[in-house]
Amino acid sequence: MLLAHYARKNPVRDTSRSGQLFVACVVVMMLLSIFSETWELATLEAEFLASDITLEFLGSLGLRHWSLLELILAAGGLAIVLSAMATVGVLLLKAMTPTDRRRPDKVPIETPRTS
Amino acid sequence: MEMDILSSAFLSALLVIVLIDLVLAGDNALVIGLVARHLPKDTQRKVIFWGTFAAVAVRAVMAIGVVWLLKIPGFLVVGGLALIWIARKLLDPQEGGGDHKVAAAQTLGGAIRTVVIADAVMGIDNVLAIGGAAHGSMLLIVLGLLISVPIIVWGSQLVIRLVERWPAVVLLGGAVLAWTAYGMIVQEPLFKSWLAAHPTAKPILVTVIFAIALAPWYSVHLQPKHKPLVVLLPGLLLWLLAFEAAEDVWHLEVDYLEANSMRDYAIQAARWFGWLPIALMYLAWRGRSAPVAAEQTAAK
Repeated sequence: MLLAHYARKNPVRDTSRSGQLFVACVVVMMLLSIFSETWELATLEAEFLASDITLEFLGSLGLRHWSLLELILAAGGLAIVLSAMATVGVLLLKAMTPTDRRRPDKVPIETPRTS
Repeated sequence: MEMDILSSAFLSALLVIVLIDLVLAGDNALVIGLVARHLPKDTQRKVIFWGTFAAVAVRAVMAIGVVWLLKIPGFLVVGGLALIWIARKLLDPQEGGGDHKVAAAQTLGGAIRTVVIADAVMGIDNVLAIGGAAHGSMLLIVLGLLISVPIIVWGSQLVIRLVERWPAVVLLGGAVLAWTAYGMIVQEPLFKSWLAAHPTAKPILVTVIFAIALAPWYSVHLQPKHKPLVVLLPGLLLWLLAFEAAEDVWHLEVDYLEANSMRDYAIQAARWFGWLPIALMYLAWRGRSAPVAAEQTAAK
């Protein structure tokens, strides 16, 4: 039996969200590096693909030449960026969502009555 | 193939090997303890010494064997497929059969024989993964063996504590094993020229490999109604891959831009829609067998 299976925590269920996000980003970077190899070859053959800005950007990264260490570091950076975007997004959403009227600390906005 | 020691390729391979040694470390020390538990104290010490020596020797012999085997055409694919299964076993202990029972030995010879067999069985996946990750570099294979020895001898508790503190290490290990499996399969000399001629096959192949190897991880996060995707997604990708292979074997035209006859259009229709009836039959079979499985679980 593997030593990892003696741990009390089940890695599939008990890994934190940030850990799962990091590993998911690593998988995405690995897949992108393989896909970029195909896109680079496809743009050589099909001129219409060369005009796609997304493919051009991905092709310019040259992901197919990245080593695993570079992919893991890039995945870490990507995970940090995504976490930051999620945090900012949640804060913005909270700020833009009006407070429930029934909350006791909600300050009522009174409009002057015109007689 | 020897790499420059300070190159990113070498450092990446070394990182992979360290990770593989950590996540695939077996409970050799615990097995030795279990085998020797009924023996006298002085015999136990001999079993511990010779058992540990045997673990290292067996790994060294297996490493030489794996390097030799992987040079034989076809064995890189076999090794890659084995690594996919090892990655699944790492993420889902139940799939690997879980705990194995070890009988206590009555003699020194019996204890050492049991330990050697257990070492060989536990070490094969570690050695195979290191062989695949080393890309033929003997230095990396030796480093992989040297790193695994202290883990076998002293590092059991450290590994367990590492996994308890950062369970993501195991998930990362599974992803790296899948990546190594892909690297082995595409390096197979029998398929190299075909893959070079069919560049679209590589993305399909890598997605299939990751979909199968990491299924125990992402399937946990799927709702029950989406669980069939674990089988349907790799199945669909294999279907598309089969048509890429059929292009050469049966001289079919699978590029829709080049289709110009009824036969070609029929092949295109089969390629893009032919998987639908099979998927529906699978879903129907799954729908029928799910209540039976639920009844059996309730009866237990």
